[in-house]
Amino acid sequence: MRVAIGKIDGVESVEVSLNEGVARIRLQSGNKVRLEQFTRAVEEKGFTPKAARVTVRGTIVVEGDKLQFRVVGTGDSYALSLERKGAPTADQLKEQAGKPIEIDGVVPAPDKKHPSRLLEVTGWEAVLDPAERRP
Amino acid sequence: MKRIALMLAALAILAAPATALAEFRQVHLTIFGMD
Repeated sequence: MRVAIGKIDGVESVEVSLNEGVARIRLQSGNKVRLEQFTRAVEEKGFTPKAARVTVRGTIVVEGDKLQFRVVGTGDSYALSLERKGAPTADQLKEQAGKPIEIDGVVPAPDKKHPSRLLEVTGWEAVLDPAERRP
Repeated sequence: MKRIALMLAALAILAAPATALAEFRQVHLTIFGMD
């Protein structure tokens, strides 16, 4: 499995622990990886992918009352859940709409309970826009 | 004029993001057992 995941474009390193039942994957800067590429690789090796704890950069999009998170490079879009410990308030995230932010969270395995793609937020931080770093 | 355009192009490269702003950075995927 380590080899199969390591072949995916953009993967920097992979560590698979069969004791813990976890694949830890670090990604290169500028990658265009989608989560489905990992779950497919895991399935092809005969395992059942479940939840993924992720660190991901993107932008918040406000659609009515709902908050979406877009990973622009890949076109991936996730509905945000703010019920976990460490999650910001909806108002805090709305203030960040359109700006690049980094989110820590959990993407549950798609099932009847979570038919659409969901990102349960456990933490976040603003990503400084390079334009704002200029003196 | 050409020189100014070149300088602006060089500045744009210098100002380019050091890291991408939209991407997965790290994934810990549970491959079996409990979520």
